[in-house]
Amino acid sequence: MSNFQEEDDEDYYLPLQDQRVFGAGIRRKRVPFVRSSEHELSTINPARPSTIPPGPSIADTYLSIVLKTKNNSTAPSTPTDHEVSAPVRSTHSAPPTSEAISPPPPAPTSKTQPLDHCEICNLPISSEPGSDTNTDTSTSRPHEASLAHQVCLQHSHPPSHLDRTRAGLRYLSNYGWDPDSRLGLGATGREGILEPLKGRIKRDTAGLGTGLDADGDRLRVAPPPPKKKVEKLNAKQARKGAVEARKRGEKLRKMFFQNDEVLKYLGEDA
Amino acid sequence: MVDRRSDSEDGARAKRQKMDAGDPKDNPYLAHLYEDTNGADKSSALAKFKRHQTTAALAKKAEDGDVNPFSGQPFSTKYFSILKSRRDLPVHAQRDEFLQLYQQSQILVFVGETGSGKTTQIPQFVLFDDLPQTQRKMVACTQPRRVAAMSVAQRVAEEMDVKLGEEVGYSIRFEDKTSSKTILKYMTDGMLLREAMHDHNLSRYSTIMLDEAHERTMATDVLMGLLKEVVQRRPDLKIIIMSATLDAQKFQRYFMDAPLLAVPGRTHPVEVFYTPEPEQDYVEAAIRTVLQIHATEDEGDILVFLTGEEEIEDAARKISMEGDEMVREADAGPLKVYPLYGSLPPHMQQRIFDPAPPPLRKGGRPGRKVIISTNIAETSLTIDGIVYVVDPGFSKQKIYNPRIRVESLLVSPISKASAQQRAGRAGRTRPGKCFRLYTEEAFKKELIEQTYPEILRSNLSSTVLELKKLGIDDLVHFDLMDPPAPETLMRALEELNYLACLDDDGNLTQLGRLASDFPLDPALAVMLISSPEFYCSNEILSITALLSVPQLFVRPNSQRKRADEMKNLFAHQDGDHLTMLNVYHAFKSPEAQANPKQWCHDHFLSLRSLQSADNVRMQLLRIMERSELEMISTPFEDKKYYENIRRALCAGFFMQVAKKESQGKSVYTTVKDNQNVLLHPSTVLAHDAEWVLYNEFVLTTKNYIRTVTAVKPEWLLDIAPTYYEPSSFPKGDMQSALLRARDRLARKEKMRAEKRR
Repeated sequence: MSNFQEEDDEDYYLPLQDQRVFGAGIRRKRVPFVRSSEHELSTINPARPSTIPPGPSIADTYLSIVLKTKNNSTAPSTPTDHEVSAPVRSTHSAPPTSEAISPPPPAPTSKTQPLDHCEICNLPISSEPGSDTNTDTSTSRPHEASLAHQVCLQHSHPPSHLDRTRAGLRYLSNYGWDPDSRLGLGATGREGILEPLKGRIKRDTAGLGTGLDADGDRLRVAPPPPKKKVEKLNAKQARKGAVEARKRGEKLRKMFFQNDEVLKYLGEDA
Repeated sequence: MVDRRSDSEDGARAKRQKMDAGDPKDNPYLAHLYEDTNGADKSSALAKFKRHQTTAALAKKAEDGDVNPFSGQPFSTKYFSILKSRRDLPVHAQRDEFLQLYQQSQILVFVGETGSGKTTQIPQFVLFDDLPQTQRKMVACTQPRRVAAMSVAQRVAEEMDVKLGEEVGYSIRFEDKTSSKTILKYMTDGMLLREAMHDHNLSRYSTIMLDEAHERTMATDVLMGLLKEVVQRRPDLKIIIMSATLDAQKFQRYFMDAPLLAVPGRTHPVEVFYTPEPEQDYVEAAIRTVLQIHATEDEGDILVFLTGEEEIEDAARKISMEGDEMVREADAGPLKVYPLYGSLPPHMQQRIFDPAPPPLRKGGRPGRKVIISTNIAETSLTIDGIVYVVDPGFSKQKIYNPRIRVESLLVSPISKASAQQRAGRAGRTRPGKCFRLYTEEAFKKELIEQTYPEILRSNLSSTVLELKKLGIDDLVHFDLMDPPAPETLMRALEELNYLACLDDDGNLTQLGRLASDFPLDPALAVMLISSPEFYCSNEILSITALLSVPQLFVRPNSQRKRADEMKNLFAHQDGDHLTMLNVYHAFKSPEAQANPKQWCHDHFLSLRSLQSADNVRMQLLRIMERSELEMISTPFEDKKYYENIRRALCAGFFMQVAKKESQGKSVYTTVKDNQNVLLHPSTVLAHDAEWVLYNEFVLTTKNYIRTVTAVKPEWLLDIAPTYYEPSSFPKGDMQSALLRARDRLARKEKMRAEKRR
């Protein structure tokens, strides 16, 4: 079952323009989540369940399970260990979860040693003694939510778009290439490009610097054409214009909504 | 001195060469009998040389002697005059430094700018120190281009006062000019790679030089990866990487921090100019710049870089027209314009070396020549006398899209390195000027640093086949300088699998092993190998040769109609491949052979292409005979004569097939990749074929398929059943057509079975 789900998810691919920088999503989705963990301050502290007398919700049980495995996996923290990252990919909310929780290990120590440094961003964690006193502000802005920490986090990425059934991919994975590793081919440490080079057809003789830039955006827009003189139309011209506009509208409608199969069925005139 | 291994390998090499009857000392099989006299008898000047311990002074003495230490013949007078000029070359001053580094380390990176003399001199320096003849080995120097390999070998043979093909030889695809005496071999990088396929340790060589490594051709890149592995297995092998540009640090890093030696070239300063604003039309701007230079600048020739044949011819016409007008109206000096591009016939290419025209009258303003060239004048050709360079910043570059499997030539911005190389062309003889038709900002921001190496821009199927043959299975971790994109490699593996060169586990098959013996694209090689099954190997061999040479048909602008009429004489209604075959058969007929030059001229055919096709055919025939492939033909009277050939074409090119769209006239869709294409206007295909096979996908403003032949879906289903499995196609036109064809095939089969009963 889980296997099936994973496969499904790997095929899922957002077109590039719809993809957001991962951090952007994380910040919005993540911050409340972090806050909740910071509120108790001892999420991963084994003593925590005792501090909350009411029976833990399913979410909490789940969290504790995820956290445990996550603690083990953060230690090596290599992007290549596929087995650990695989379950992360299978659900969408998972990646933020894992990252949200992974920093806490230093958190409890920070309580005791205020001048400790975060393992991930190398910044002192709540070094100011004052932060202890006004706990309200520190809960609203925990260290894990700080921008510096977020930037240093290792992000999980959407899986590669490659079709997993391709024979060529099977060959490469047999020799240890992981399509989701975001690394190209080649000797370790000298990996090559990930995506094939793209060419663009140049149809005109516009010089360098006038055309499109590397991303295909217009660099320098040609000066706007001089404004046309406003003319008054007589009745005949106005009528003609209206007919033309209607025709154009008709044509556009046809272009967008006409269906070849329906047409074949109903005949050309329908 | 001679160890057993090299001895036996040398014997293997000799097997393939004709033995010159005579002196048994030349017989490598008997080499062990003459061990003691080895090298010493004929080369007294080298007798005291200790391998890898010589100095420049020692070598100089040997060079100045009376007897050629390598051939044993007395030196000619010409030798000494050349020797004198050789000693003026910049590399000569650093001979000792070079020898020290060469002796110390296994790999050396050598940077010499153009004009330093590295290609001709360094290999000779190596000969005097490496003494390959005492090891019964050779020194190899690779070149990216065939012409360079030939001409440099010729030059070095003269410098060493030996006959080309004896001590100094060359080896290029379809031509081997070496002998058992050869100690220095110039070769294309592709040839060395082919040799490595049969001899994984390159044990015939004591030193290998990769020249022009900065050009980063596919073969050089693969060779570098390979040599990196070979040097670990063979500590006695020395490698020199020669590059002309300063990105040599990249080579150094790649080769485990090998030492670097740089020799300055002999160049003059070049002043670079930019435009303040981007140009709206770079062709027009280039034309105006040329005329401006002609009107205002001092004497000196102009080199203009444009992108393609059409653009160049057009600009050449406009410039000479305007130039004439300037002569009439403003008393300017005469202007001579020469176009230069790869497909130009050689005698026209030679014209660029003509001197500039003299002033019209005594004391008049000096004449000037203008060369309008593709980027072949950037590196491959050196034209002296160029003082002004006009650089619009574009060139045609190959790019491969693995998603639609199309290799295309696109006009693209050049790289910064390329722009610098172009500018450098202005400073060969005296200080020059380079006019860039773009802003300095555009140079800094829009140009990439280095041109992408060929391996990132090409279809990799033949490279993958070569690598598999080289015994490299782990393509993931093979240490290339710039590994290609995974998708490109995947595509190549899949193509080879469909061609049955690799099995489903990616292992080389018997067919693949055979195909790698042919210096051809895998599709062509597979077609050739399977042609005996279709009873037409003679014809397919001719077609393969014809597809491997430049355009056969000549179509001069002024006589297009006449050229088309002549082409129609040969036309076959079923397509261009068969038309080409008709041309070849006519060319081989006695009436054409009586005066081939006239005949080709009359029929608007390229004699050069036909002759080289003839040569290629002969070479391929030799490989086919060696592989014991049968040479057969269907009798011409048989009505299946042409059908058999068309079927055999499918065996190699079933992945390059397009089907006509049901509605929409003459629009085709390529199989699997679903690209809309048009038949190239040059096709002779007479009827509306529903399925066509094509040789080439031309991506320009419109998508064309060129060199097409009509085929039948039944054949495709029969020849490539996995590729054309109808269930693997999306529902639609193509699938239903295939299903219909399959039904027809089944019905026919049934009928045949009934008949037999």
